[in-house]
Amino acid sequence: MKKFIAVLSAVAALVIAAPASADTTATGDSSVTADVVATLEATFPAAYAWGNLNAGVAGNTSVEQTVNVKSNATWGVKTSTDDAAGKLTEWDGLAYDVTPLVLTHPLEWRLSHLDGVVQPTSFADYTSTPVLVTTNAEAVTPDAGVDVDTTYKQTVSYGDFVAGVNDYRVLVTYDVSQAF
Amino acid sequence: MPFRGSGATVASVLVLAVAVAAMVWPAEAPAACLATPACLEVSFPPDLAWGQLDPGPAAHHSAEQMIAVTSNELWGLRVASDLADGRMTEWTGGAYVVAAPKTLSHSLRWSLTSIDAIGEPPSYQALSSAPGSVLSNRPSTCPGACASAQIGVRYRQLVSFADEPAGANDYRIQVTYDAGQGF
Repeated sequence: MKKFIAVLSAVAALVIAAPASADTTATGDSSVTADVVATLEATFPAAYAWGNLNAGVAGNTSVEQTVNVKSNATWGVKTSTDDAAGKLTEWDGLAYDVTPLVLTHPLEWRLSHLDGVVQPTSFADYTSTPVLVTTNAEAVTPDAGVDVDTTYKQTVSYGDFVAGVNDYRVLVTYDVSQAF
Repeated sequence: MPFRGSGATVASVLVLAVAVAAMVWPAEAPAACLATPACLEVSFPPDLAWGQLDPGPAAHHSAEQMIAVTSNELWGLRVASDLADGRMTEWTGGAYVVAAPKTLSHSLRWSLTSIDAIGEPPSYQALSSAPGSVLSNRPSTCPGACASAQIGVRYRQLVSFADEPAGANDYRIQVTYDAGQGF
């Protein structure tokens, strides 16, 4: 019996003394996990009022039109026009004329700078079919984004009439995507 | 009164005594702290699954991570990460990716944001493997009866467009909190 009581007393002492054994330092770990959302941001050029174009074989060249792309996954840019043949068409300020004047030659485009680097590209005709301006797998961008600079060229024929109070117009669309 | 019982009864009592100690002692830690010369009880925040972060100039701020400290002496709290530069790194779910892991451009930053539910002006600092002081030489939480000091910490993560989605993986970092009575 004495032996048993001694054991029980030892257990009781252990229970009472437990707090005294508490450390005066304590360490805890907490992991933080997250993922990054595939994100694409772009700014597009404003409407471009080109002014009066001269007729002649040399053609007229626009100032660069800039699309700025911010993307954390591979990306590309495509462009197209609302006119199937890419031709500027008589515009009264609100709508295309019903029986419009249409420029003889389509609007042309070329990638002139990519991220500030001159691109050795040739002009191509616009159509309503979107075509890649860049590759479809451009690298992820810095936070400032990458500028995609396009230059337009319009050859005006002597067969192209002056539109008078109207203008010629075409709508250029840029598509930016991580999934071309 | 002497205890009388068979061997089986003795065994039951011993098991019961241990079980009660395991259940009650942590729950009554403040009282225990009061009664002992040096006692520190701390609860730490659970793992944080932050979800999807998007890149951009606005940083992401986590929910407040709470640390509860009961101490009958002056105490302090430090924080560090397992990654030297505090940048979250691609994680398979079981380990960091070894071959060319994706790593976020910016370090995870932390700030003390509240003490006992009173807001603190945030001052975010980059996590690193070198412990940073969250609090030091805080007074005992047992001036009479013991109570826990509730310490709130928030994380801040800036995500760059250079930071790609991790796909089937995640980004991860392990944050370690050290509480002690020696600092």
